[in-house]
Amino acid sequence: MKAAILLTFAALLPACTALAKPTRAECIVGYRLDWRSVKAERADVLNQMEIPNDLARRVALAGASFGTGEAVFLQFSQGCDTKSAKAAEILGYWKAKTRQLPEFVPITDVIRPGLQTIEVQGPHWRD
Amino acid sequence: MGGAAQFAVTTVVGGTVSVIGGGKFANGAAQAGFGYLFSQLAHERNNRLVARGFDRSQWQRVGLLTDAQSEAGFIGDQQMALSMSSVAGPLPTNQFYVEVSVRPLDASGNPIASVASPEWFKRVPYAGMSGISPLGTVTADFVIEATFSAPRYEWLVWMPPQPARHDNAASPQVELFKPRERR
Repeated sequence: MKAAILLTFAALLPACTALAKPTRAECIVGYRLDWRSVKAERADVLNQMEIPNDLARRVALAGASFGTGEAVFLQFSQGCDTKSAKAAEILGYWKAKTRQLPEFVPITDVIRPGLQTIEVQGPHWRD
Repeated sequence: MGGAAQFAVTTVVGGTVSVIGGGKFANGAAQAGFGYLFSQLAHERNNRLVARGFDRSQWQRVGLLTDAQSEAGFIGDQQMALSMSSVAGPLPTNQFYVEVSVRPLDASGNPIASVASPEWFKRVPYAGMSGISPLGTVTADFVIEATFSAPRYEWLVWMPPQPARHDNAASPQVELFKPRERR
């Protein structure tokens, strides 16, 4: 009987581990970019918006998407419950290092992963 | 060689074929008449190296991948550029690599059914030197081109775990660029 219970737990463990992982949507932060006050060329500004390797590692950034420059999306691999604070740290870096930044307007809706937003897949997420 | 003959050659020589865009081979083959058919020789793949190094002022950053074991996708043009960096040091090492593939999309961004040999669909590896040198950061920069023409392209860049003994495992990063659009 005990063996059967142990086997049941062993069988359920991988499923529980998978459920413990967040979905990608839970790890994405997005901002719409308002360029109205920016005179510099958009591509130049986007190219200046770097994320240093050590900062990316500190905030567990998995990827970022700039698309056509209408919005920016950040996806984290760990600590997704504090994703807004992590994103704020990246924005703080950009504001300190980049001239003529657009306004960052937080996207409050749930952001679904995809080619129109951010498409980063890997073992950190359950979808 | 006509389109029908190319299809026959591809299916026979390729043995099995793969289909982009989902569905079974039969569905893909049925769609091949109005989809895409790639009859390149087995050694050719869906993308190839065009140049090492590029002028960033001619390109626009579209994405960033900073997590090994993950894959990033984006819609781009026939050419894309990538820049690989890490904090390997005190000298850069020559072990940073990624794998790239590209799929054809229609003008609306939907996958186009495509038929080719399995070899054609494989991801293409790109490796280079990255890290920190006494003179500054060294990045491995590549310009890559899809070996076909399509209305749009879905680029997929996969970063496998980097070898720890070369320090590229610490903070690897791949920047993704598309040709710059002048406004």
